[in-house]
Amino acid sequence: MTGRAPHRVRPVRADVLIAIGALVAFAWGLLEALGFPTRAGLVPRLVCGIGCVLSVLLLLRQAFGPPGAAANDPPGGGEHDGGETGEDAPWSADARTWGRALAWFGGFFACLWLFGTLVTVPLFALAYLLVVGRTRVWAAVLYAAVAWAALYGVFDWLLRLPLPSGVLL
Amino acid sequence: MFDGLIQGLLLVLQPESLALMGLGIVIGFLVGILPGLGGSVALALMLPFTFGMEPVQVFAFLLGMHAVCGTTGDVTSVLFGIPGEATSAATVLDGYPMTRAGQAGRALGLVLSSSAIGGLFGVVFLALSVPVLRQAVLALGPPQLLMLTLLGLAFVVSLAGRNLLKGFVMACLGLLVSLVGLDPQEGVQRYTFDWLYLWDGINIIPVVVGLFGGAEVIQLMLTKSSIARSGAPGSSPYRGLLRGMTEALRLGWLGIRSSAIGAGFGVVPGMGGSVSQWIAYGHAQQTAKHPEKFGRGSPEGLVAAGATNNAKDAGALIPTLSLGIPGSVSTAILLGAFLIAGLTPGSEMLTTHLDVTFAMVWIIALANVIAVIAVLALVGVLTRLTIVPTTWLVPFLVVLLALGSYTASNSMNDIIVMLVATAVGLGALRWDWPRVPLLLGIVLGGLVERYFFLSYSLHEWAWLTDPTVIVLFVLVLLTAFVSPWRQRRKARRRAAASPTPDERVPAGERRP
Repeated sequence: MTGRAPHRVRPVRADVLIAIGALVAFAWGLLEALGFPTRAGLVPRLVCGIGCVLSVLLLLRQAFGPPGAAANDPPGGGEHDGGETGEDAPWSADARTWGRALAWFGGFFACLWLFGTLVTVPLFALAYLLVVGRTRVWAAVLYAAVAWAALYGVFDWLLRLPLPSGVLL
Repeated sequence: MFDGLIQGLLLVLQPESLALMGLGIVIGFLVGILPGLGGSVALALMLPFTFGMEPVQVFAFLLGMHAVCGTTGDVTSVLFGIPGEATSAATVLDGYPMTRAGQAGRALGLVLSSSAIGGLFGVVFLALSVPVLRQAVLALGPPQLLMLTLLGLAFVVSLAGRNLLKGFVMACLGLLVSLVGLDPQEGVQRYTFDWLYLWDGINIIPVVVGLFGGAEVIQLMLTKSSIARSGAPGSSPYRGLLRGMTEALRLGWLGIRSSAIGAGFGVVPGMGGSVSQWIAYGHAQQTAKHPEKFGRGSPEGLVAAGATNNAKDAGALIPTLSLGIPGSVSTAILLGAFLIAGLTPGSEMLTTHLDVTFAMVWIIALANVIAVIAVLALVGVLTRLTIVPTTWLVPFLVVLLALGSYTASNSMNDIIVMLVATAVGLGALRWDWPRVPLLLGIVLGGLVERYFFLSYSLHEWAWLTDPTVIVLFVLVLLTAFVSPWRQRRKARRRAAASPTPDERVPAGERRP
């Protein structure tokens, strides 16, 4: 965690943007719901109408509430999500680290879509362990082989569950 | 009744029944540990293998397997932050932060002990209440069920504490997402963008896996450390386990209350564990001395989530046995097992086949105890996984994410939904927006709409003046507004009493 000033502003700006996004979603939902038959549209209109009001209230709170209203609240309720809090939070990672993590994550699912599970999983395990983990080659190969065998054995052979198959294979 | 209880036990203790229960427990253990493959999937997969078995053997196999899945689902929630199934999501909130603090043994001790409390409470509840609750379940109409559903939602929104308004917005977004698909009233498409996959609505499993699991996996990829970031190296997990078990026993009364919530809501058909876990969690938070610790490794939160998760299964069996109305997806599949075994749910299960009913009670009790003992025996191995460098865990975890979401309906579209939920989960964590109201909005949206229209069809608007509806609605308002207000006031007083710099860290800065 670095200086306080930028962090005091950033979450509030993000809240405003998210609230605007929510307002747009609810307004769109409401407009769509107006075109539904009465019975099909009643609950969507209620939900979207209430959502619009709440989003506007949130925006008003950000605009006219006491400065840093949320930020000055005592840490008594807050996020009960089990997410990262405090100094340990990984958000301080630089853009390059973020980019790499998201590229590996996205790359796995792109390969899964293209080549299917039984090809992607051992390849990804091998590449990730060698490149990111800097693991020894024999250990990475062993990991990839065990991963393939476990997947094939448990899902395909034992449970006979379908695995994602690739569009190319 | 006592004769039925003894007869039931004798039936379970037959070697064939015990052997099949053991087999079911092993399968349930393996399946439950895989995210997405919950008890209902295990039941569906194994149902065809029960043809030709005796009734008690069928239930020894299936219920043994199903009872274990809840416990093992809690294990993945605690250790990896990936809920084994939707009903384990509340366990993630406090179990995973505890694991990250190097206290995986303690977290497992807490959740397993409370699971055992919940499981055993559930079977006692089941044994005692079968004849009584039949009338009570029948007395609940759609208006009351609607209010109970809203009560569940209110409990969850109240968990957002100082972010109450954000909690409401997220709950509304969840409700909006739940409306996607073919409308059940008119059959028209709502918010489907003419995409065939969305006609059936958005499946909850990929949403849960992405919202909680996906977001955590990306955080692990960013940090590259082990899941457990602190804790004394080389410290015995068994010491933590013992500490957790002792704490769970100390919080036994909360465990029993949470079990009662789980079993009670399990009885109501369609409500299921997705609602009861959050109500129990909200109750625990509202009655805790330190509500600010919830979501950051609170023992009370873990006890509530663990106890309610195992108690709900026994509760869901009550309407299945006594009325033939399944209380959850799993019991709907079990209903198929009744037919395979040549049994008819209803009054027969309380008269002619009372011994089979009590055999089921014994099976759930035994399976819960065996599951807890099995996980306790493996706790050393399991907790060691949390100190493995994340580079070794990431390939394993992304596979679990992919398979956990894909198995929902065997479609790549489920993986897309999971990825979107991952992005939403990351954003919510980063900017301090509560994820749980969004999740429960999605879970409960369909129920809210169904009960609303049933109420209107049966009573028009007269149901709004029903005394039970009014009482429940007042309870909803009190839960949503008064409890968070009291907590905030309490927290402000505490902060004012000890204004140290650490305690005054602004909320926005806790997640830079």
